[in-house]
Amino acid sequence: MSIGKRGTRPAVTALGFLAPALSLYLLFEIVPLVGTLAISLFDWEGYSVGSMRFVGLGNYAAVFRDPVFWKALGHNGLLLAGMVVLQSGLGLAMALLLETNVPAGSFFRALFFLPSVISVIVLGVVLSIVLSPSFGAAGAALDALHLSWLKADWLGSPQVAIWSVMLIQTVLGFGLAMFLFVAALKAIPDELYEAALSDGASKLRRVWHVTLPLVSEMAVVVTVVACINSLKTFGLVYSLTRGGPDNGTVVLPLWAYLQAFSYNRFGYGCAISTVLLALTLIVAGLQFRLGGYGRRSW
Amino acid sequence: MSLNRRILATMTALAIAAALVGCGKGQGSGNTVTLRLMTGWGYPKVKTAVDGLIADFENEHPRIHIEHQALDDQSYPAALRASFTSGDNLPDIYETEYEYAGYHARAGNAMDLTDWVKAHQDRFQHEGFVDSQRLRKSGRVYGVPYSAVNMTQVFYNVDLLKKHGISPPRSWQEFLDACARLKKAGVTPIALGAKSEFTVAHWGDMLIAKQAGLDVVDKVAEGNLPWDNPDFARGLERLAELRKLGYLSPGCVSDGYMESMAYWISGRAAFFHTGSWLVAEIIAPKSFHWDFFAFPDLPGGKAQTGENVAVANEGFQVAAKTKHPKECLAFIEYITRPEVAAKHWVAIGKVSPIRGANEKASAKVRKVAELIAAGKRTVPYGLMRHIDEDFPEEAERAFAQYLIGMLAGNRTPRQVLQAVDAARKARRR
Amino acid sequence: MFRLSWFGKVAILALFAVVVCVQMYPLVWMTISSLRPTQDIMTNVLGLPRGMYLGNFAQVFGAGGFGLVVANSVVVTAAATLGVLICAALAAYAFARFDFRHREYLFAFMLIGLAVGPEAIIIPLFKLEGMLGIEDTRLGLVLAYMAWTPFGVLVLRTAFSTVPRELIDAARMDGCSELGIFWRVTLPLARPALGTVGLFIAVWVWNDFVLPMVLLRSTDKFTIPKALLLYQTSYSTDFGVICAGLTVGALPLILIYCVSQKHFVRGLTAGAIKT
Repeated sequence: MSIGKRGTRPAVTALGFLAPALSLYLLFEIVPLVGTLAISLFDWEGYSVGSMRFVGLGNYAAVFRDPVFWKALGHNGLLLAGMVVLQSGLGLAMALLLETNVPAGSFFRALFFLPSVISVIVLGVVLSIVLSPSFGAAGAALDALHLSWLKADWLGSPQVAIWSVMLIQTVLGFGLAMFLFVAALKAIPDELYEAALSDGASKLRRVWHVTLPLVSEMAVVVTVVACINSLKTFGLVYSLTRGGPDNGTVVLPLWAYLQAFSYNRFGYGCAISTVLLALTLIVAGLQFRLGGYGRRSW
Repeated sequence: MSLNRRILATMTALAIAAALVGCGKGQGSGNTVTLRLMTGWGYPKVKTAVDGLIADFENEHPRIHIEHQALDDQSYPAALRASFTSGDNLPDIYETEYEYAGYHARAGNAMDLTDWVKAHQDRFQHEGFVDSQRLRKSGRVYGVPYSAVNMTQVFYNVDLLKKHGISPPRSWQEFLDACARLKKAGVTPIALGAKSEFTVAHWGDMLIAKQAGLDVVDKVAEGNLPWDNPDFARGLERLAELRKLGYLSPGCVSDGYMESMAYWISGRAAFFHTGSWLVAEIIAPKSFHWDFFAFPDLPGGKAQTGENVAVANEGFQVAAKTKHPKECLAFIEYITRPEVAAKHWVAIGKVSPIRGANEKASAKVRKVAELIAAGKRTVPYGLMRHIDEDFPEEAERAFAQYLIGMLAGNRTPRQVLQAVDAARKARRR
Repeated sequence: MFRLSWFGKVAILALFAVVVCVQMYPLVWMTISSLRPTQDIMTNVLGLPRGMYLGNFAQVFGAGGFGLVVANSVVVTAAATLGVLICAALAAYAFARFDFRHREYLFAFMLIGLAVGPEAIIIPLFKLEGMLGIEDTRLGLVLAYMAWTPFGVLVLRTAFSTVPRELIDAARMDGCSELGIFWRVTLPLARPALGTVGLFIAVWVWNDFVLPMVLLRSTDKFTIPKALLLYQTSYSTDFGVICAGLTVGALPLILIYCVSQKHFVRGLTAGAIKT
């Protein structure tokens, strides 16, 4: 599918196609990002321009000395692994299930994405109340289903809270992964399945040999997106637990935001954001490498 | 080509001239002066009150027009600081809440109002309220206080207490006895939502202030004593005791402020502790009867009678770089008149730090004002007397998060205090 | 694709039902609560309405200008979504179709934006927009949302690269220009991916309050999440009014979403390759 190699005309045409996205991206993403990087080299409260004080890498040194940073990093690592595996896995599983002739499939497929439509404020408030031991709603429901052994202080126990957050994010957020997999699955021609069927392959074999290889590239996309989202978003965590209890669910983007906007350590907050960005890029890069993305030639 | 170039040059010159002329925009036409007032009081009830202040002021000063930019409470701090750091959309007057007064004063954004305040000193009910706008190091004042809150009260469900034959406790022992009675009757004594952090931090502040007394608190605030001292620890132990005895709501660790308030209003808990802003802000049906009593002194506590935890949480500052200082001060002078504050501000349930403004308020507002007035000395919430003291925000978060850990059974009171000391030290340069 | 036994169908339906119940409950609570006065909600948080209380909606619309707020949300979301789709599709086509020097490095460079959360760059972005004179404008907001383009580029490049070579070559031989191939051959075949990206962006932009919080100041430019911030302070929340506002805010999105579902399906079956 690629035309020409190292010729000037393809490069010029390509540039034409790239120009709109690239120029907007440079101006509205890269330039502010450079600004953030610059700010991270200063000690700044963020209330007036005159009070900026150059500290070089001092903020970064402080980041690595900060115990909450390491705690948050650990939580992010946990959520990352969880989100990548659980969300992608659940998304793929649901997409596969939707490929069957289960009735009302498209109805359910539509519903699974709806939680993304709801503001995180509402999600946090409602789930807090439902899971609260004070009101006892979830507890009562579990009792009715004879599942009382599942009861715990889901959001109030510093040890359990992070797992609760992971589970909640998975169930609410697998819609996007599912959609991406559905798009990939739909691109697989039916003939391939029929060929496999006529070769006598069982259901499982058909999935293994036909489906999975053809969605592998989309799988890389899904895992990268899940990975990046888990490192970047903190709206739901903040709404559910404020990063507590006892900093038991604090995550890096939340910590960076609090430092910059609540504690008036703007330079420090930017430093945390920069470290987070670097980590994200490394992880995403590894995923691309391992997934063999972009190596296919057409 | 040269003709085109000449045209281009002329047009450029005209454009520059127009831009320069346009820079003078916003000054109003003729004799009127326009001031920009920025607040985070976009919440309809409060915005109407501010607009009322402005309307009456403009009536008295027809040559001054005030443009009120009312943002919502959460965007406002970020928008205000963005204005100051970028130089765009600078306000002439702006409101401050709690520690923001200190941030802006330290950053040089606020005009020094020490002389003005000194000249109008008797307008304010309590020296402590002016302290909320004063930098300790220099002693200079950078704004005027406009709302006061009292922290030393506990709200209660009137019907629930009556039903169980309990009268509002007047001592800590009576309070514990009441909790025991309620618990036995199957009612949660105290509703607490620690997730929101400030809720549990207030409990901590109160118990510490009552246990240690303001002399010790002052020593700690000035850096002569660490937070990790026996009096502070004893104060926090009382909260741990409440938890151990089962007097706090079951979800106290993970519930937030609104959830715990809903728990209280639904009649499942009897007591609820928060600041006196609740008087203005509570949304409950008329069938819900509530009142409040003064937070009892602790047995063995060093707090003297009349030591309160109260603060002027809201106030106004004038921008240091404003082009109309005289007009700004005219506005400040106008709104700090007791009858003006009473007409608009106290009317919506706020408590005013201005002498005489609370006299015709509703019964509950007057009761709060009396509690505050009865205090011979006050210390602000967060135990800072002045706004630039050594209690940075991350110390606050450490305090709150470790207290939550204490409620969850993970931390001891001394660990909580040590965390605060560590956070303060890390911040000191 | 797969045929299920009767038992399989029931089991899967049961699983779906459970998941949907858990997912939908917050939405259900929100809609129910919008019909209850806040004082009722405070008395019984998980309860049912006593009747149709319309006061919350009255407050949301009565404050004046909510129609404009909804219109702003529609305009900003539509513009941002279209903008991202167009720019991302063009760029993704370039990556998928052409082989030019440093292609993968450029691709990696573009993906950096994917890893950056809006909060991390909001203050420099505010300053930049101030310098360009577009701060506190809807245009400025739309352009800031176009930061989501890398996501589109990533997904669409994957989708475009599955278009078979034969179709492209055939079009080329028919004398189609690159733009023509892009428009007539590649885009239609990638409709599910385009829909997914567009949907995700639209939902994100519609619900986002972080960017408007700092970038917007004038009430006549507010989007729905920003306008609703007025009903909560940093501490307390007027549940009833907020739920009413959010319900109004969610409805257009849900409607568009349901309508676009049909397009999804049509695009999916049309995209099947028949040799």
